[in-house]
Amino acid sequence: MKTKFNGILTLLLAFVVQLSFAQEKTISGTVVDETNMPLPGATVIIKGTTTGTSTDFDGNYSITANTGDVLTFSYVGYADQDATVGASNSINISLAPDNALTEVVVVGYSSKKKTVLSSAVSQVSTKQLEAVASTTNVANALQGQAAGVSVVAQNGKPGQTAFVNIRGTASSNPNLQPLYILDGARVEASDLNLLNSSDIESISILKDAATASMYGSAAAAGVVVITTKGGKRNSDAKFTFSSSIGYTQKIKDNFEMMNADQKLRYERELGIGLGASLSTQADWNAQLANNHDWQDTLLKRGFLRSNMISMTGGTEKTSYYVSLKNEEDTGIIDGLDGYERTTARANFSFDATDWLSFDVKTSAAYTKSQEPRDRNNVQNPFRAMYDYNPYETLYQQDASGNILYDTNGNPLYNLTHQGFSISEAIRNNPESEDRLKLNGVIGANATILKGLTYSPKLAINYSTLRGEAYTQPGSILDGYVGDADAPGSKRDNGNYFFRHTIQNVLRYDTTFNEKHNLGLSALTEYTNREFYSYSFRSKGFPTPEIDVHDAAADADGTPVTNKTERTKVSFAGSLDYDYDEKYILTSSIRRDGSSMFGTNNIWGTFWSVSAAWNIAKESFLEGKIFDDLKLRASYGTLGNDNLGNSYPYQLTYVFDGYNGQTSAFPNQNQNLDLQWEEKGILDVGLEFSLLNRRVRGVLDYYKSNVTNLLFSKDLSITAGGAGVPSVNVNNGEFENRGFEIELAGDIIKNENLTWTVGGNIGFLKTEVVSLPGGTRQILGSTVLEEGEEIYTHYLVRYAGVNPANGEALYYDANGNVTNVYSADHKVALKGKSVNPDYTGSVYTSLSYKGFDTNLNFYFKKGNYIYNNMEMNMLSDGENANSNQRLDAFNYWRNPGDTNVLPNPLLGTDTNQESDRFLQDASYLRLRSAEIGYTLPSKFTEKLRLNRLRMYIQGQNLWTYAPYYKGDPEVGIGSGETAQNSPGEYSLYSYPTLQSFSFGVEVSF
Amino acid sequence: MKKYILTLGLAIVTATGFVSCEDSLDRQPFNAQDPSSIFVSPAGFENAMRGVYSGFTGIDADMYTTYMGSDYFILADVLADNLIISQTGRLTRRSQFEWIYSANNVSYLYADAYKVIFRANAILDNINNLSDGAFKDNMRGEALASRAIALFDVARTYAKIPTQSADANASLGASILTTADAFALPARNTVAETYAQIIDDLETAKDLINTDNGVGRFNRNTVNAFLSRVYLYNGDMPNCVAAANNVTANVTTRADFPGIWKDVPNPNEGVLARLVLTQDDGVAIGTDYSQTSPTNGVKSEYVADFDFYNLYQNNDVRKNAYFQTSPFAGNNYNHIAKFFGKTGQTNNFVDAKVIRMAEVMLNKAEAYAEMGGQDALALAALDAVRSERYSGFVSPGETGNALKDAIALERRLELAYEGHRFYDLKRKGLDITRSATNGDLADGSGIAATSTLLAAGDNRFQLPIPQAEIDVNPNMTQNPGY
Repeated sequence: MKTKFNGILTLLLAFVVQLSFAQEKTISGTVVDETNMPLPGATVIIKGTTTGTSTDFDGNYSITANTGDVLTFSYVGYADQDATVGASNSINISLAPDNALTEVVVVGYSSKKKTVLSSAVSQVSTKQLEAVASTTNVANALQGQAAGVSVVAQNGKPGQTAFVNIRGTASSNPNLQPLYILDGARVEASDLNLLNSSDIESISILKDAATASMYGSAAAAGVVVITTKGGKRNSDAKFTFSSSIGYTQKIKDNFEMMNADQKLRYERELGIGLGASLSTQADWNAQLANNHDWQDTLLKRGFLRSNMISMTGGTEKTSYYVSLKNEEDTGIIDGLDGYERTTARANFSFDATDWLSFDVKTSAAYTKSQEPRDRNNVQNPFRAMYDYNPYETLYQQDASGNILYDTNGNPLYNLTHQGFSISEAIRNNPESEDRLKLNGVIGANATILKGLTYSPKLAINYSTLRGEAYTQPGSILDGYVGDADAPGSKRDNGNYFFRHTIQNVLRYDTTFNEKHNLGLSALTEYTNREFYSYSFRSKGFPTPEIDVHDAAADADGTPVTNKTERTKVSFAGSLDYDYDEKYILTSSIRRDGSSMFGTNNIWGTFWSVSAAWNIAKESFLEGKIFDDLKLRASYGTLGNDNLGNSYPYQLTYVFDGYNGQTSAFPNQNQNLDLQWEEKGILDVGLEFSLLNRRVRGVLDYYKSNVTNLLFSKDLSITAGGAGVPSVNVNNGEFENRGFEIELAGDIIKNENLTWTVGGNIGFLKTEVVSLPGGTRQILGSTVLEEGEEIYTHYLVRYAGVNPANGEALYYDANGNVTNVYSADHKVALKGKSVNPDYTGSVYTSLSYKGFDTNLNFYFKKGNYIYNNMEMNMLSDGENANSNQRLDAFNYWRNPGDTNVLPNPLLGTDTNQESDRFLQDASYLRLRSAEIGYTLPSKFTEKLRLNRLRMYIQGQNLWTYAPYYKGDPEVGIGSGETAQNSPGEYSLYSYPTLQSFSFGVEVSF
Repeated sequence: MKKYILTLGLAIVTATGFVSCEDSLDRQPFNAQDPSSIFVSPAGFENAMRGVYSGFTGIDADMYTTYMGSDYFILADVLADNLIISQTGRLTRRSQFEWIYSANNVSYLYADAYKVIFRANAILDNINNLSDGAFKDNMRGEALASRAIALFDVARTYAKIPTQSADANASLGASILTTADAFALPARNTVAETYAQIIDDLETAKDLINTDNGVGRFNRNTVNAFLSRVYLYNGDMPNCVAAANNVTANVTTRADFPGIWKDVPNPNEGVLARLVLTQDDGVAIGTDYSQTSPTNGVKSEYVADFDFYNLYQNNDVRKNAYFQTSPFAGNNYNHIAKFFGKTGQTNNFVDAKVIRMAEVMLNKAEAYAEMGGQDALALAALDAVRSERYSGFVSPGETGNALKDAIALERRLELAYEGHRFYDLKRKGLDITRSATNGDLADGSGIAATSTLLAAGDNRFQLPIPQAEIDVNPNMTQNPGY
């Protein structure tokens, strides 16, 4: 191989020599970093050609070039540097890191040098995202990446996104997600599934008002600005192929369920079920022989697969980045194929003239998934695996244990004590969702005068859904809920979403008297959002194989469609000023008009001011320990217009039918004053780096007040207006206060070894300041109560077991112990809310020669989850026909017993909703671990490759949750049961998964 | 030069685009309209009027769906002595059956009725958008009648009935609302004021409304029939008779009687207001009483009280039309069959038969009997019903108290489960007594009712105003005792 390669090279060289009149010679030298450490694998290319080499382990290179050629030296993370070949045969180069002072942060409508940034912005790099590469959704990958950004996976379902919370509660809507800006235009949180994380160049999280306020009425929950990769001008096409495979599995429970023997004994003790009725030892033994763990029966080891190819490069006037990726994640439900996603991206930029350039970024994504039923009943496999008794078999068996078959030779499913077989349902009640998402941004940049640029932009954001759910004729479910005369039923549903944004930005930058830097910008923006959805059903299908509606006997109910349109018009301006990058002052103002708000309040104004002081640039700190030291402060206002209702202020009549004709009646009352929820946020921060930037950190304090909270206010029932008499109003106030620390340090940094340790932590305290109509608003088992944390749990307090007789005791509302349970005794449980006291992460990365390794820990402290699953598993006999946890045996048996469960034999219902099942969900988790190896360049060179890296990676490998029984990462409690806030309770949603994968990345 | 032209061009295009953009901030929903777009044409008023009926039946799928699709029928019997709770049911409405309701745990009849009043008032507020004439008169009559009927149901349930006790007329009545204002915070009127308003609305309506509005809507007979009921409750016997005499219909014949309950079309059915309910509407009146599965049979929530069931003689056509004795889970029950479904169905979907000619005759009979000296006319009205219910009927020719008793008995038998028993006992100031020994099974065994006496004068004859209303409306007064 080597010989052949050299041969070709020689031939090529000979060819070049023949045509060359210039003087050719061999140049050699060493490439080092800013600390004089050699950079192995740095690229050396003769500019304008494809000829090049890379440095060896000691940073040495040698290349044949002509006098006058320009050599370009480049290395990932460092700024490129050019050197012209002159008389000398030796060129040594020291590359400077491409971050630090010259680092540019994308803050939405513009980019800023990090030095002059006066805003709390957390940045997430591609490298950080890739550390959790097998996560298909970008939101999940943000977990632990930035202080004050709390990320909870919605659940463990493949392709599922996450609840992202930036600095507390910004709305009366607890599910409000940050504003996502992709390549300059708004997209939906669900559109993150459009994104292939490898396509991302950078993510900036705008946490305070200084930068977010430019997004005005949409920015209350924070802004996540995502920029995708472009190509590099004047560089050859570089191809990267990456591939990985792996597997997923359910994280092992931190509790134990009963086995067949234990469950039968428990039933016998309680005098219920099979355990009580088996009369002979032989019958008992026969049941024991059936013992199995339903988790093994219903779940499987999930399969992960990912393949991607990308190409990037550029000419003098163009650059491009193109990628294609296909991923598969089967999930862990036996019988379902899970999730598959294909994403494609093409980004181009080109110069039309010397003053006009264009930027075009387009992407498409197609996802397919087979959906499990995420509901709290017998149709949910994750409930069934805990509920089914270990002595119950998957298939029906005869007396001698042989499986019974139907006339077609298919095994007959055992209906279990629940009268249902989830395995049968998974196969015969299929449900699927296919989504297509397209995103396109076309932007132009015209330099009208020196310093004056005009940048119009058009963005479109399109997505469609096709959903199908089929209850096959003859399936068990159809027997229960179907029409006996028209067996089988099918639902088709779908939607269409289209948003377009037209944006004009005029920007003027100038420097006067050498040290005064001034930037002014003006902005207009128009956004229109259209949504359409449909759903219809048919019943009566000829066979399970046929599922099209025209084959059905009859329509099932009236088809439903929904259509909405929203429009927003905005004007904004900003001012940036700095004196020699030392004293910085910025300000912005934005005025938004929205179709969603009352005619008296269509327009809202949002503004911000911020200032920063680069202390390290002062002469008194020169030569001192600090490389950077910046103090900054900001205050500004943000709004929330992300409402579920597109027409929340109008007095409207809706239409229905009566006696075969249309009818009209009021459904909503009018509030012409209805307006945005508004958030004012104060932020003070300190950024520093020292010891040659080996230690870096950011400290931030913030306080935000959310006012004009949007609530539905109850009206007089006697007045009788509009449906459930209520009107949407702005009232009430929330407060969030927090402190954040981000810290990183390179403990060892030398030629062969770099060891970095870092972490972040965000403390948060939320408080309900005021509410409309009273001091308390009860939301099921949580409450908003003035002076308490937002979404404090609201439950009856459990007082343990009466040692004398084993009955359950409770506290009444006044704190007196009682043996009578009453929902009237519910109280707000001070300090026990769905909000954590703090979240954060600790990471470490180590690289030694070609090896690299990193570990990421994520932690969360002080949030409480109502453990509904435990309520079912330790049910004091209430749910004892279903399997129970092993510790259900620990119930009161004799007078004097303490630390026990209530006596299930008392016959009273002790399995009541109380704080007995409310658990501290604090946890520490090894979120990801990775070991990689990059082949030395002397080998890759011979393979004619740029780079070859292999890695193994694991996720959610270890969890420490001392108080919570079950997986403590709870987002959605149960998909089809409404909850008031994420993480309020757990109720058998798709569990969090553990994954292991192996991957290869090759560039050439 | 090119540069400036192009930039200018771009700027002009985007700027002009902007001016038109601002207009687009006025977005209207696709599925709904402002009332100003509804109340402009006869078709719009017709839609709004059908919206009133949707409110009556509860098919508008609001949170509240319990008025003439539910509470209007079952409530008065659950609260009284015609039903007993079935132990194999889901123990629904238990707090009503045991008279242990509180303001937090109460029927939604109140909210439903006021929803109807709001919708009727919205029509009346806009009625002058219509040009004078027959259409406008009929629309106004229908809306006034709807408002009055709904207010009457609130008044008799949540306030005293004028004839109930001497203090009734001056006591807390219902809130009278004559305009649609969702933000109003109404106080309560007296009982006397409330009944005056109801009567005024109905008297006005009876001359405006059409004699026939087709199936599913109120008409002149409906209004006169309700007038006879309201006058009876108000103790105004001559006007009760007069109103009854204005109704032009016949009592259903014995032969046609079973068909009423199966919604068999019949021009002489004697149903004076029928609100149409289909399976698609999803409101099943019968589900309050029972659910039927082909394999397990009828699973009842409430079954006939044993003593009451035995009041039906074997030659009474109502016995088989109203009841079905059949086993469930091994025991025989006297199930309520009146609302099982249309012909051949057991899905509980039937039309709401709001008021019938038989009641009008019984109202008249009671009014004559109470007026004194009119026993012959009272007996004639009573026999007009009895002769169409018993085979081989021969009038016993009762007079005096025996006649009053016979009228009361026939009223109980004829109008069982149609929303009368509780109110009939209440307006007469009588106790409600239940057997302490009769159980829920067909033979009188089984579990007996635990609450057996609601003495006349008990505050629980007036149901509590929902707490949600008390919470938001400072002008509202709760009934005593809650």
